[in-house]
Amino acid sequence: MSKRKRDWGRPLARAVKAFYFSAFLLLFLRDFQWQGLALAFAVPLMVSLTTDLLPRLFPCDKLLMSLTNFLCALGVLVLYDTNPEYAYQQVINYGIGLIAMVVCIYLVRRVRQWGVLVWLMVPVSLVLLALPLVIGRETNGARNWFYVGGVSVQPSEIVKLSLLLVLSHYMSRRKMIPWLMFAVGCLGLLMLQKDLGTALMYYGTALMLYFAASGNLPLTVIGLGGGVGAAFAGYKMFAHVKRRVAIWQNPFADYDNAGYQIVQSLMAIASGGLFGLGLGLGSPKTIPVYHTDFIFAVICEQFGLIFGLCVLLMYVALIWRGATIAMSARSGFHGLLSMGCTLMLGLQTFLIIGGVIKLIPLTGVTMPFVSYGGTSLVSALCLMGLMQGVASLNEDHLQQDAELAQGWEVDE
Amino acid sequence: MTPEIYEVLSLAMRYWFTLVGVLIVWRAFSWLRKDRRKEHKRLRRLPDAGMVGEFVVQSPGTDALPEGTILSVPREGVLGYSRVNDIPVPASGVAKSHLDFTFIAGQGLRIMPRPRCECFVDDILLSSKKVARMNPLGHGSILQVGDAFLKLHLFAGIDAPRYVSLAEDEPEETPPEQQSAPGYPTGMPVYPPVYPPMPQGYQQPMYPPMQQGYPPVYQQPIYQQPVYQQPVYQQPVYPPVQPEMNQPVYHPVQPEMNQPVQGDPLCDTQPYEPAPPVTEPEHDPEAIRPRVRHSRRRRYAEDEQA
Repeated sequence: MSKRKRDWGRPLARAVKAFYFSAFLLLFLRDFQWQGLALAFAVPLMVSLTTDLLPRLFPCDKLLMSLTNFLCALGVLVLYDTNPEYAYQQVINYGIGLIAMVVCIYLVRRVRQWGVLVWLMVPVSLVLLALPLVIGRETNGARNWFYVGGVSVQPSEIVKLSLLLVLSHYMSRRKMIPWLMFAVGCLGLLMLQKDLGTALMYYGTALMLYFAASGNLPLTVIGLGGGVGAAFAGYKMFAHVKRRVAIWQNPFADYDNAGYQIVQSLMAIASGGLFGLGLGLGSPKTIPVYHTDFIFAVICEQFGLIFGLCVLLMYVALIWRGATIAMSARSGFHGLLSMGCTLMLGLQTFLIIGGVIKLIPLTGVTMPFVSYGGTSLVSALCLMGLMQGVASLNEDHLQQDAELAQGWEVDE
Repeated sequence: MTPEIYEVLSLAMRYWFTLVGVLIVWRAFSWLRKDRRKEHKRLRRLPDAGMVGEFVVQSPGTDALPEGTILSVPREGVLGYSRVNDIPVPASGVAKSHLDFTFIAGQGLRIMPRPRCECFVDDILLSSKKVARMNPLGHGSILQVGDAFLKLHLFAGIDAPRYVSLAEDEPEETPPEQQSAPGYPTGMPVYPPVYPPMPQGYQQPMYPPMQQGYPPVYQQPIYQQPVYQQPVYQQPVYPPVQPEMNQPVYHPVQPEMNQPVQGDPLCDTQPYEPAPPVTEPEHDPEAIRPRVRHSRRRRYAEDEQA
């Protein structure tokens, strides 16, 4: 009897489904709201759809899919625990994001010439980034959003995708001027919006991707020096940057005013201990903006430090896998695209978790897949879709290699 | 459910959530390790995976790059002197990053020399981008960079023409294929012969009513291998033998025609010496052993022609 090929994806998907079924069931038992029971079945069903059904359409990377689903569902779970209204919206965003992810996979697999699309993306992206300056509202000292029919849109999250496509396209063709001009334009507009966290993310991704594409260490170091200089200039020019650095240095000096946010976050993480206070227990709402920037602190409070470390390791696994996909790509464009998505994801995760645990000053970016926010979740899933598209192309190439190698002698 | 019972349940469930979280992470990293081992194994089995062919250094070669050195060619990359390039060519006259190459399915390997870098494709200088686009490398083409002469061998199954196409806007010309008539070896002219079209205004002459077998239908001549017929040797007529005379000894008929028959007293006075035995040529194992395939999946179109 032949040995059946072991499917590594199935046990992982089952563990994810079991986790969320039990978690939502527990929350249902707390207040017997039918929505909790509905989510106990709906979320595992969505996990099933993406990990079992989607690979039948395209050769997807099941590990990436499982980890992404776990993180997205974790966000829904924590939001339902703290504020069910946010959870319902997040589920809708999750559904829209999955559709966007499939579209991105299809685009990467089908589109051969990205030149025309890239030419269209550049002006559209710059216009989108300029819109908050014209019709947007200032929130927390930054003008990042504008509203369309009551729905808030953060264009920097959408432009993130076009930035990666433009950078990958021109870097793979070794044309420096076009992507440099585009990146400088985006950074300038973000500086005007005072969205320094996103600007830092764009800059860091572009610099690291340039190093990955060219291997030019001297120029990369010069760029890094330029970034440090720009950060120093920002510190001198913007008052809120000075305030954030001061809070980062000693939040307890002004713990009931400017430092309240970070102090509450640290206290919540410490209160959770190793195994957490328990799902549905604790007081996560005492942390300001618990549903976006400080959701990691809520996770650590409810589930504990060990679980928080597991979440961090899941991001590490995502980044590792993304880098592997990039190195296995057969064309420079696809390799750089996958690497760019990985770098963007990794940098964003580092910035937000580092800010929450007071490793670095707080920057105001969201936690990928987990934080509440329609545009943020959809763009993160689109990033994942781009990576999955490259992974599926790699699978196709492996199949072709196996077919070509059939019947040939192999030197042992 | 009362808050106290829920609290107890929640405190108990946190260990379950931590355990599942740790299991998921452990499983994920095991999967990553397994895939890495699988990738290493695949690369050992198919080291040429992802490559479209290889450059073989032609004579005279250099000290750092002797003749016969093989350089794998990926789908796209940079060729230059430096080791960090996709194809390192340590030869004099080669810049640090000398040229960019891209494999285009259906056309071949397109070469784009960097500024102030020269290279030749089949003795054609790639002086501009247009010239470079018009002269991609095909199977068997020679690329000259500096002092190095590199011959490109494309792997079997790679979608590239045998002949190098001229330009993108020109229709791709398919070279005329020589078909062999049945029974003839490859390379013989095509039968039946193709005649030029009749000129305009030409009227075909009237022929007499068609008879059986008219107009003649061209029939391919059937080649018949001439059959060797052994000549019939007729024994010569001799005068009656006197009883006291020694009867001549008649030796068996020799197969060669027009050759003096050994031992015949009327043809040759030399004593008869039997012909040396016919021996078959020495068995040459090299001649009949099937061609050994090159390693892995390398096979060249010229082998197909051979």
